[in-house]
Amino acid sequence: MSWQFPVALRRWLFLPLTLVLVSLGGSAWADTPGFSLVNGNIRTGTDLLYLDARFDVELGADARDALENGVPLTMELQVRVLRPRRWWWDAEVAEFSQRQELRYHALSRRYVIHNRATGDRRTFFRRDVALAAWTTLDTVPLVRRSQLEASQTYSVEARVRLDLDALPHPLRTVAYVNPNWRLVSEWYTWQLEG
Amino acid sequence: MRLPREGAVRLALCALLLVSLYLLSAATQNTEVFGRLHPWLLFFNSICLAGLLGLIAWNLTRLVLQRRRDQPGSRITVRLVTMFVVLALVPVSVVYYFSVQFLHQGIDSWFDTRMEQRVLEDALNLSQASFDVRMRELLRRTERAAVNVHGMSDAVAPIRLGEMREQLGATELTLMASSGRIIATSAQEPSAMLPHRPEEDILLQLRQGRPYVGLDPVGDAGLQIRVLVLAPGSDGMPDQRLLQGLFPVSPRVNALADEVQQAYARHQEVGYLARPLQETFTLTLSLVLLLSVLFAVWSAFFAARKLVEPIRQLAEGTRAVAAGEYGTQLPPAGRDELGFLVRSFNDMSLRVAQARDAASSSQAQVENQRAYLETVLGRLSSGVVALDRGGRLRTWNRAADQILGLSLTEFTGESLSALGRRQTGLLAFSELVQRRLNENVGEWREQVTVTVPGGRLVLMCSGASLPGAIGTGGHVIVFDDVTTLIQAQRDAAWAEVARRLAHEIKNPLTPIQLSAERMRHKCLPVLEGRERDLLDRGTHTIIEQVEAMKTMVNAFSEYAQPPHLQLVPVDLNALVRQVAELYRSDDMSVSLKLAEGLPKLRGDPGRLRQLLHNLLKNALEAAAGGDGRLELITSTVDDGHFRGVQLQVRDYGPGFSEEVLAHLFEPYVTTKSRGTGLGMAIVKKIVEEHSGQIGAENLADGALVKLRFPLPVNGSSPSVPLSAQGARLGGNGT
Repeated sequence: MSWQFPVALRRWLFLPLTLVLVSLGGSAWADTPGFSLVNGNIRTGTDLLYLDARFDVELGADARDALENGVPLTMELQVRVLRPRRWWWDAEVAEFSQRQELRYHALSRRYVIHNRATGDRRTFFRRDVALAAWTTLDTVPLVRRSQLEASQTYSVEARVRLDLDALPHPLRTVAYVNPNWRLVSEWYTWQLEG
Repeated sequence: MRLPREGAVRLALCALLLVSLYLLSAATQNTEVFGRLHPWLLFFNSICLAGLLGLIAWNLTRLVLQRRRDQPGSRITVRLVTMFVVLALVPVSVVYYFSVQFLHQGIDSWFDTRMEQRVLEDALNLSQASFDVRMRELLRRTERAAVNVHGMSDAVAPIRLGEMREQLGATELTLMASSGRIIATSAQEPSAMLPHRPEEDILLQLRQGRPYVGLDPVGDAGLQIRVLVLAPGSDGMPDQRLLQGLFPVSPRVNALADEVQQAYARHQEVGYLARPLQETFTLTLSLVLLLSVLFAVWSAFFAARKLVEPIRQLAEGTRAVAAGEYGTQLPPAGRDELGFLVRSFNDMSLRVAQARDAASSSQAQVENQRAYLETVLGRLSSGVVALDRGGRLRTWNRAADQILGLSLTEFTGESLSALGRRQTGLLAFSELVQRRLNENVGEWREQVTVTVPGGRLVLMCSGASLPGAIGTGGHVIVFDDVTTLIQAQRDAAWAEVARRLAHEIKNPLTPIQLSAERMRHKCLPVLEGRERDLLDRGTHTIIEQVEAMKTMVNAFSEYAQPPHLQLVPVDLNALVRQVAELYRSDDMSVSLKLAEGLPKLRGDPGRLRQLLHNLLKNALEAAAGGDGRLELITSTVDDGHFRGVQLQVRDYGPGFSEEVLAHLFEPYVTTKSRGTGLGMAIVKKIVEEHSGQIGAENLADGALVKLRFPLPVNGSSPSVPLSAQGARLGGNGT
């Protein structure tokens, strides 16, 4: 069906992709555990749209302790592509999540990042570098261009959070109760204007 | 119906709570399915907790309000709730305390694996040291091999690298620019198309001139050793190229290292998770305890209310019965002892109500009988007085009040002696009754004369003992006013006397008189001297006395004759003025005090004139004994009992003697040597013919005769002739 919209596709290519950050809750505090977006943009591929985003993370003492003690932490990226409707709820074009695990390998004294989607493993000696790599999302496929209609405005919403359900059971309850474990970014919105 | 339904709801809630708590417990046991549910179960149970707290707060508020209003049953509810709560709280708290203690100490002791920890750490350190030796060696060999790269062009690099890789025993050898761009690579496995690119921090380290060697966990493939060194340039200076070698770890070492890593990581994780586990268990336990306790407290309110409900109803019922609401019925309260109590209360209340109804019914009967009796007694013309055993006045009828001319109410509960003391006129009556009571003769009958405000009365009294016990017995005294009866008998007797006098005496008087006159006429001329005088005086005396006797007999005859009244409206004042005028003289002063606007009475003017003549004649004769003053006073009287015209004749003479006063209006009562003695009797007769009343009394300086004539009611005339109805007024005269 992509052949139906060649003009629109060209316009997609030439029109600047505006990035609109909608910050609803204000910028995250540095010492407050959580994620905050450093930069992010939507890149146009040949037939896919990609998201590149880099988040800053402040783990907090509890999560850092858990990481140092061998508890794997899983970051979940949640993405939805919406078509806004004036008189009704927005139509959902695409919705998916992606997980990336970070754990400490005691024998090699290295941090291992495991991307569940690609199966890719990367190791880091320094924790800050590992955390930066953990929260950096490169070339996350969002949606096929063929799924998008011309002259239509779409919004891409994304956030990252610490997946508490991936924590070991004994920790899960505490994590649910304890706000120090509630590591979640706001919903960031990018608008795609045709 | 409310309680059973509420009970069912509570049971369902209890079951739901139990299921939730069981799930919570199962989730805490780390099972996969429930483990996911654990936070949600915690959340759900927390909601239940909040709900229970709200319910308890509501119940508590209600109880406090009830207690403040002092509603029945609120005190015992407070006590029961307190008792239940204490009973529930104490053992649960003890169990909780020991459970938490056990949990903390138990888990601490379970995870107290310091020795294990050290062994594992040692194993890890040993493994790391072993790898370090190997890594240093590989670094040295790689550095040596890097020298061979000197002057190696990019074109030949792949071939040379292959040789070098085989010499070094590496799985992959890559030559790359300092930016990480790959120049050439050689891999043991051709399938590995892309060489492993080093991370930025490693490249940074190399750019700073420091080689890198590290152990890389490569997923399921185990470990590999990565070495990165700077390759020297062609002229002996580094040409910004990097040589990366990836070296395998023997499978045996790999397996051992993996085990050490797994064991250490597991141990580390478990050690770390001990605290959250404790917290989770404590949280779960606390929640379970709180829910149980709060449910128990909530149920305590329910149980207390359910238990107290019959008691509260009993209290309210008792209060209602005490307030006189007999017959109050309480709803049934089960089959236990409380239910029995409620049933007994209902029976009792019903019986009390029935007894009350029976009592009020019989009381109504008694009241009816009493009212009947009172009506009968009230309509009796005889006075009836009931005395108790002590002679004290208990009840009487209206006729008694009327006859005695007073209200006996003020003597209620007092003896008749007190009545006699305070009303001297009734002394004879009270003494008679007292005497008869003392004699205790049962029935008796006796006549007594008393003086009441209405005049002197003759009472025919009869008494009898009343049957009954101490509280009910006593005496009843019935008395009739027989004054008028006696008077009537007396009047009839006098009328008979008058008739006989007229018949028996008047007839012989004429022959006597004629004979005496004839004797005088025939004999007086023929006699002389003493005989003539004797005859003259004798016949003269006879004629004179016969004349007097004739006058007297005529008077009696007139007295005895029934009246023939001509009733017309009469102005009493005019009549008084006319008659009084005739009696004015120098010796006598007749003063008139006549009321203005005196209504006319219906009467026979001739008879009334005769009445006034007789009265004035009598009064003047009495006044002659005094200062000669005489007053005639007319007035209108309307005192409720009597409505009419009153005439008072007041003189300032010596007054009536007691003896005369008692029989003043009877024939042949006179204070004068002359006269027929019928003057006042005729006055009384005329008054009675006009349905009036007459009375006489002595005052401190003279005497007073009072006459009353009733005014016609609706034009009716007084009844003629007057029978025995009351002809008494004022003082002592009858």
